[in-house]
Amino acid sequence: MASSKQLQVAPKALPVPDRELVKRVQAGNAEAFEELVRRYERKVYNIAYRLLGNHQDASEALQDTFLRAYRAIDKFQFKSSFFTWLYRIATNTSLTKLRKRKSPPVISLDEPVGEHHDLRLEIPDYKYSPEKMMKQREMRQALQDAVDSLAPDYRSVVVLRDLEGLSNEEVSKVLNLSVSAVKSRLHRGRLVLREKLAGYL
Amino acid sequence: MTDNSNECIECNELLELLVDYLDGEATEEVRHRIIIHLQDCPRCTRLFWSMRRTVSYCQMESCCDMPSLVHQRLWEALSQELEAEDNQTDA
Repeated sequence: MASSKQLQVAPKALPVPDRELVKRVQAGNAEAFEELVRRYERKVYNIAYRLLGNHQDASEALQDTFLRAYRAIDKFQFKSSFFTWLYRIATNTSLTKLRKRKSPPVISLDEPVGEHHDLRLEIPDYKYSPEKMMKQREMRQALQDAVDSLAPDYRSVVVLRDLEGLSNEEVSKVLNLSVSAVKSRLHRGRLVLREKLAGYL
Repeated sequence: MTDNSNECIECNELLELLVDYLDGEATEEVRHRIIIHLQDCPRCTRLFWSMRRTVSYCQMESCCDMPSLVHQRLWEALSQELEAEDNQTDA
């Protein structure tokens, strides 16, 4: 009988909230931290990549972020959400790296990075013709170049708000800024992006 | 006679309000004021549409793929950290 079969299906377990996982890590459960890493590694990587503009630096920033988070998680007091706290570490780690950089990197999205050839970005998408893929790649590079051209204070706001989809309120918490400061930087940043991307949009 | 100073104030105001509008956070009243202004100001209309295209494009292109080697290196670094911690605890 269809209805009894339906009843036999085990309900899908709800994901454990971040808060609970953090408590488990604080109690010494390393596996709970691994779950947090699995949840946020791509998001953190995206933030780092957008702020730093190349895979090599983003990869280092990703590692530093999670290592710092693990070492500091005992001090996390639940005054903010875990992701806000983690994104703040990621942003600060990336911006510190950016400020220490002596000269701008000349690594393109599609070129091998140093000796680590596997770090090249390869996204074959057979839905598109080679021309369309080329155009898409060009636009992606133009977007990253435009983001790279922003001063770090504006870059972090634009990356978190427009590229990572955080709300203005969340960005203000991550960056320790007022919401009005976020909006002001966002507006200026968007004006620069608009100018840089004018030929592509 | 056209009052240019007034027009400038309105254009500047629009710039300030644009963030809220583009993010869908503007009130009904603000949205209405923006629409009225855009009907009479080709310059701001151009700005508005190009800003909208820019923001939409950024939001669409938000994800870059994480190379598998990056994932692997992260987990290696974390394993080393956890192992080092275990060794400290044992010692």
